Amino acid sequence: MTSAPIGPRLAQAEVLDAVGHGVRLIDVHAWPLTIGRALDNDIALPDPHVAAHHATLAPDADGQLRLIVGDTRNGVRIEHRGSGLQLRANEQAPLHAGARLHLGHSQLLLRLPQDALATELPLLHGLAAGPRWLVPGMAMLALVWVLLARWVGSDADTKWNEYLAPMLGGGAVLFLWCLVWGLASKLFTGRFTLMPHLRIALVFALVMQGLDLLLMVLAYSLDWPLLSHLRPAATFVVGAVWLTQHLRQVLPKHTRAAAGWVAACTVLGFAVAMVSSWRRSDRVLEELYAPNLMPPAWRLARGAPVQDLVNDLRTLEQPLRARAAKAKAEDYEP
Amino acid sequence: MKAFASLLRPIVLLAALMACVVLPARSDTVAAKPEIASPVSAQGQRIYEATRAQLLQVRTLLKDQDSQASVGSGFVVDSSGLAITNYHVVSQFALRPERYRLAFTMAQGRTGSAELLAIDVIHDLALLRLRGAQGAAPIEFTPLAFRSASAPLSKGERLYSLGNPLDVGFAVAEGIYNGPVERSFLPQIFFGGSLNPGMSGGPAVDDAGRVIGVNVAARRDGEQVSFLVPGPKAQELLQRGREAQPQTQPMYAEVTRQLVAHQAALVDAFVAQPWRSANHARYRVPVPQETFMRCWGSTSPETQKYMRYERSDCVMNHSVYAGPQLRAGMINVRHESYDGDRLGTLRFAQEYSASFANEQFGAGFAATAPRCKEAFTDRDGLTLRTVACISALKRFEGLFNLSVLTTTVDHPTQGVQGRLDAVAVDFANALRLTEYYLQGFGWITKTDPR
Repeated sequence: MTSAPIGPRLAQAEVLDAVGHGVRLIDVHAWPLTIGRALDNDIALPDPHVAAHHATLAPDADGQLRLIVGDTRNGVRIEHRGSGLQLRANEQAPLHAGARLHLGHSQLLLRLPQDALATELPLLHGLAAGPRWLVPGMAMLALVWVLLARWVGSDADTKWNEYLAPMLGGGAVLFLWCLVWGLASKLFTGRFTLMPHLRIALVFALVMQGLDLLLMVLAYSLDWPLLSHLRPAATFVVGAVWLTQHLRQVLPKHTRAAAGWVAACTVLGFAVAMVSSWRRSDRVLEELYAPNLMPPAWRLARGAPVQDLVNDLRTLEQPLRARAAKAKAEDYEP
Repeated sequence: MKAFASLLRPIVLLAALMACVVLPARSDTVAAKPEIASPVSAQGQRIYEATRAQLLQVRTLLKDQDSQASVGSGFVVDSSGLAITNYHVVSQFALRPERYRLAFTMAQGRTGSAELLAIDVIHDLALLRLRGAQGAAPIEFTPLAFRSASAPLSKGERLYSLGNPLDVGFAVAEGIYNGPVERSFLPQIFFGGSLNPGMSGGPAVDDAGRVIGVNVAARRDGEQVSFLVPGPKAQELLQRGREAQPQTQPMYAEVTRQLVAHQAALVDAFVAQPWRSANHARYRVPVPQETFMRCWGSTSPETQKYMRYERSDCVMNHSVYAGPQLRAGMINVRHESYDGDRLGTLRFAQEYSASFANEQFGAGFAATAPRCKEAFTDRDGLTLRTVACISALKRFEGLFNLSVLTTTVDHPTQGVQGRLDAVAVDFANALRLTEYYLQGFGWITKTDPR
């Protein structure tokens, strides 16, 4: 090999370990390229699940690169744009740009000169790439929120030191949350990043609280109790988007999969909550009535005659009777 | 309403405890305190001797074995073997005859089985037919006589209550006739003597041995405050059920029928009364008359400087024991008036709201989960936020529990929150009570705080 003349670079192969981390970069200067466990291969993989001469890469008469599988028990799987093709011993298939080869527990990524180069990715993306004032601005807002919530929830003679606990406690929780995500980033991307997670956490914590308050106020002001009943659902949804944003930072190559998983878990979690609420209390949404009262000036809806409420109650009779009959049949000995 | 108000609840509960029936004794209940032996008066001795032949212990046994589920007392009222006891003594059998059976033991030792002929759930009475044990010589029943209604007792007269307390043995307890219980929707006699569990259904007689009433309940928070069902109610049941066939099927339909009739009378009487004033400066707040309920008041503790409140709990002191899961025939009304002018609008709203949120609806197994309607309701210009919840009783078809929670929402630092609860009323009466209660709210003076 050392005596071989160095020609132009025909391709670049990246060997990845089972986790997907790149372990070796190999410049290809001549075809065919042989891959296997034996040392006489161009790419010798010390993977016990790989055959001595596992596969060969070579262009055919038309110049199309093909993969020819050698004498192997496990074969080769070609992954291309999300779909996989399993090749057995002595089969072959054309290779397209961006294909990923799975041999035993090893993976091989091949870059060819004709492959289109993707545009350069920004170092930060999504929310994490927000303007500079975002973190201090949001942190101030969060601080004001926490203090205001403490103020509203306390008596008029509350001492200043009683504001410290929620302030410091909230800050500590936020920091720990971001620290955990930062460590997750380190684990999966190799880089420890705190700030992007801090931005995401601040924005979503505020959105979550704000939306909750908005629903509470609107439910009262407009006399739409449903908005109040939907508050847990809104929190669920915001929480899911929040989590997805963190996962985008941690698993930048799997953003769609992560979003899909989070969405699926959210839907499933909410369905379970709804079913158990239904079993327990005959309601899909747990809340029995909108329990929050607001200052008088915030009310827009007007009072209706007592008779309207009584008429509204009348509609409950048949469902309640039916429910009681069902419960009698279900809950008691025949 | 306020969580801290729960500290004050025990006081109110005392009143509710009055409804506590002298439940059938079980062997695992707390052992009775050893009583200091006091010499039984010669009169008591004579009474016991005269009535022991009519006295019996009523036992509810499991259908297929001789273990007793509960015990009470009873007494013979007819020579054909008819006996009176409490409904709550035999309610397990009445509601689940496939699981239980009734047996009796007489003071002089004879035993046998008993059949249930008729019940008066409202006054907590039951009529039994006694059957001597098979193969044994027939029992000669000599009935106890009732004291005539034309010879009323006067307060302070001596009464003798008989029964088998805590399954310990037949006993006579001396006490004083204290007249009818005040503010009780149903007639009851206030007996100044000890009634213990197990004595339920036993007779209380005057010094001539004539039945005045039937032992039924005692207050557990006091001493020697006990209750009797007036004798005439037992006589009515005897007349009504004398010819009845023994009950073999669960009596839910009959219990329900009696509860329906009772709630109709109760709600009619309740809504026929005008509301009393709560003496609030701004609002007309409905407070019930104290004809068959009592209102207990409490106020915020001294240490609570900013959110001050006054609370009124109007509770009926008697409920109807319908079964192990249901005390029926109760209407309770309460309100809390809040003053938080030193708190400011936002802080007041927060505390006021927490109090509105801190409400329970429809607990317990006997009823379905509640369904609610909520709205801003208008009372002659006064706007209320109202939540009305109804749940249906599972085993008592056509009866419902109602809770109406309402609150004023017009003042930034003042308000009144009220609640009415009714247990086991029919649907029309639930609606009627809702309307009657809400109509009780209104303005006294309207001063626009904005």
